[in-house]
Amino acid sequence: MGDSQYSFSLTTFSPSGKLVQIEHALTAVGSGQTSLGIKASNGVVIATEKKLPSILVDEASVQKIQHLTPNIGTVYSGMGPDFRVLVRKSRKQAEQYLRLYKEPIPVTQLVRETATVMQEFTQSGGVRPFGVSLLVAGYDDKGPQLYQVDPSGSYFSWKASAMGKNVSNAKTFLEKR
Amino acid sequence: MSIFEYNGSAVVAMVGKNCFAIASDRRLGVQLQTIATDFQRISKIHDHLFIGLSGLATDVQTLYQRLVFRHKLYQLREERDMKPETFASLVSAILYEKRFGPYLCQPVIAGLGDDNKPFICTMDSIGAKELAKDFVVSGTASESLYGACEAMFKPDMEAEELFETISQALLSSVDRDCLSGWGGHVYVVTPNEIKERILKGRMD
Repeated sequence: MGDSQYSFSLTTFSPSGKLVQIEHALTAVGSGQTSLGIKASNGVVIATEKKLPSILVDEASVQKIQHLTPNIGTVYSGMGPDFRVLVRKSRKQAEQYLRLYKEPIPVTQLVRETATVMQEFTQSGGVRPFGVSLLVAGYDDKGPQLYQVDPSGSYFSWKASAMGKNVSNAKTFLEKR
Repeated sequence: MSIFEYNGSAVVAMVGKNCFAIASDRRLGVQLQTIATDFQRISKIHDHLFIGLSGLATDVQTLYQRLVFRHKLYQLREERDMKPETFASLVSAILYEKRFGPYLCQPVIAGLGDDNKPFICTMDSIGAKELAKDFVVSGTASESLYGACEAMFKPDMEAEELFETISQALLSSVDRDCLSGWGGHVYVVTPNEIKERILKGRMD
């Protein structure tokens, strides 16, 4: 991760105790396309806005919602390329768990490991935080679950949540309903 | 003499009706000299999961410590006990990691899974799992144990009858093996309790 000239972390504390890079990452998320998720009694629904830059773009090639395992899926707000990298890492972690225990990974464990990866990128040399927030929706022995993972690596379980543009309107709507 | 026969051991597990029993001998030897008569080969991982390890005693102890370590971390992270099938997959993976310099043990795993269904399995020293519905055996006395279990086993035995059967099978088999014996250690596990008993056999 970076050569010897960048063996220090680029994410450093400001005098007020904030990690400014993470704040900026959250701004990148906040200007991304809206996505939201709702947990029902027998499942979870996730959705996102799919606005393509031009009508010439082949919409089938753009996949904004991805499987991580047969029973866990994810959607994002923020930078698409960063999302692809996280999906790849999470899928690998899920498969490693399956290979070790011959049991599908519980949603909480996968979320925890993905969040750990995101946190590592806020404390390693020569890298920047991921510019995405993820909504991870899954169904396992504990029932349906919905988690949001932020660029800082913190994660929350939600009954319903929204991210990206117009998040305050979306959340107000969800709170009412 | 093979390295698996250096310390001498006998481990057997049997399935009953909503219960299981796992038993081992108690001898620890250095080739022909007996140096301990209370060696513990069976260990509890959690209330419904036991592992018995036969083979080289040092690897028995080290492997047990590694497995307890992994299970404790799993319990903390996932806030639940490991299922026996999951634990067996873990043991198999750990053994295969050392494919070209293996742990010289053969584990016997016995547990109660979902709905208290008994689960037993054994594997070789590099992790090849062998599942069974009735009994599994391991150790220097394994050939005698196969014969004794095959003759004495009946399906769906209750806990008390299972205890009698596994004890008789163990004691008669270790009597035919000079490297194992000096009594027996039997655990009979039902959904609600664990009964641990020491057997007195021929002390030779």
